[in-house]
Amino acid sequence: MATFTFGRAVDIHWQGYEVVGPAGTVFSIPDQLYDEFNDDIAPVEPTLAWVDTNEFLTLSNSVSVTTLTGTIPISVTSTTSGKTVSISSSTNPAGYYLRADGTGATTWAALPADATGITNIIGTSPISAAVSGTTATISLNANYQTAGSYQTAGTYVTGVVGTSPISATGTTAITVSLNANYQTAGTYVNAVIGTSPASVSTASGTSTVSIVAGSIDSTHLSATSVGSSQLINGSVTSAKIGAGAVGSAALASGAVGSAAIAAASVGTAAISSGAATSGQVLQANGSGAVAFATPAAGGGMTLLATATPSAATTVSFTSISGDYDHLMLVWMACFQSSATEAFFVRINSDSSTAYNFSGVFANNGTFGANGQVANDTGFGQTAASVLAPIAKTATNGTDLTQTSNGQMMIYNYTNTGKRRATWQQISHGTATCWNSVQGIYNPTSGAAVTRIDFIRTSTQTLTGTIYLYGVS
Amino acid sequence: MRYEVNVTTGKIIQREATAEELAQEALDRAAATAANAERLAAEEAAAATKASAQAKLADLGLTEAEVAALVK
Repeated sequence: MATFTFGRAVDIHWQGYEVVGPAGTVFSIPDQLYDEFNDDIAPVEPTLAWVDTNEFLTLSNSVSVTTLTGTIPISVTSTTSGKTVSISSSTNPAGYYLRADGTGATTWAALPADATGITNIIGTSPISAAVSGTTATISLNANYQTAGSYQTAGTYVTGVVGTSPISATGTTAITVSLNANYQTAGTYVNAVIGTSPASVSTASGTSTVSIVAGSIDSTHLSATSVGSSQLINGSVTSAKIGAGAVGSAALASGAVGSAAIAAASVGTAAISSGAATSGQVLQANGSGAVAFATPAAGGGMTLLATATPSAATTVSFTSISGDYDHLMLVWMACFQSSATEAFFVRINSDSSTAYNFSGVFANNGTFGANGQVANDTGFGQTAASVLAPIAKTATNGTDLTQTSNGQMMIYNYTNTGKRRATWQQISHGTATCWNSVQGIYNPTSGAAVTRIDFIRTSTQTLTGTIYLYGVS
Repeated sequence: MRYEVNVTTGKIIQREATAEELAQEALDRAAATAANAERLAAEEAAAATKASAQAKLADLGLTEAEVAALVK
């Protein structure tokens, strides 16, 4: 119930309630009517004073419980501050704690024997301990150790002596690193010389010196310090010799003989031509040495091209260079599809009457009477079958003696004037035919010979081989 | 089929003749045929003259060996 009084005598009738009495009389109404009553009466009767606006809550807050059950954490809801729930035990000794029993309930229990605390941490350095479950971890920061204060002599490391920068890492196994830059020769490890990174590790009384691969170079090796007695036979391979490391100064006279060079081990790529120019050759000087030298100029023949026509109507050599003194044509085993015709030679496609020639020929051993031709349009054209370079032949190449075999020289072919030519051949057609002819080519324009054509006198074809040589 | 070797490059080309080349071939062929016919006629005339001379020598009383020694 909500209770209230007035500061003067009242006579109020409200919602079926009779509020009548002298000042100070305590009246009551149901708690749920408090707001409505206060809204209606307080404005018209200012002496209204509420004693208790929610008597149920007030009473609830005043309850003193003897048994409080629930699941921890237990909370108490109250509109009034200052309410406290206390859990205590009057039957268990000090130090007991509430422990979940695994069934949803809690019981008072004594601390386990292994959680009674840490008693053996000694010292003043920053020491921390952490407890997780039944396990306690103690951490000691090594930065705060003072030499001699904690470690007992002989227990850990006793053999590190000196003042050079020495560092140690580790907990149960301690590694001591000594910077070689600070070592004094003869004091510690006097066999390691140099500035390369070196480290010394000690384990179970054994010292190990480590040298970084590649840290020892020529600056650490004095002259003659590494001789043949220091090198195991076969231990120096090509992989251990840098490019250019072995020069002539490193090879004693006579040190490299044929026995030291494997067969085919020195190829042309391994021979330096030095300042030699293109085309020079290795030449003995007569004193046991060789040198690159230009071959002596002299005569020689160079095969420029080979034609192997098969039933060809014309055979041509084109784009002939002017690099030689003369040209030479050699043909062998040439035969035609007709036994009475011939192939003549024309130069630079010149079909003018610039060709004069004369010679001797024989048919079956009888010399011919007509051995001179003037103003012809090719060497041997109008003297077909007798004076032509390829005269009468058999019609197959099964018998070499029945084919045409011969040669033609064209002299000074780059000359701008008259060009002389000679040719000889022997062949076998309707009769054995041989000739030996000399000719002059006298063109109106003095161009060098750059093209040679073998041209047929009729409709026959030519099969065989023709070589073109440059003659120097 | 014409067979051509480029001496500088070494390439070999085999091809049919062009119209211009065929025309030149025809001219060459005609010239060669005419020259050959002329040569054959000249050879035949020379042979006839030789035979006539041999016969006249024989008529003069020379033996064949003597005629052969003169005309060879």
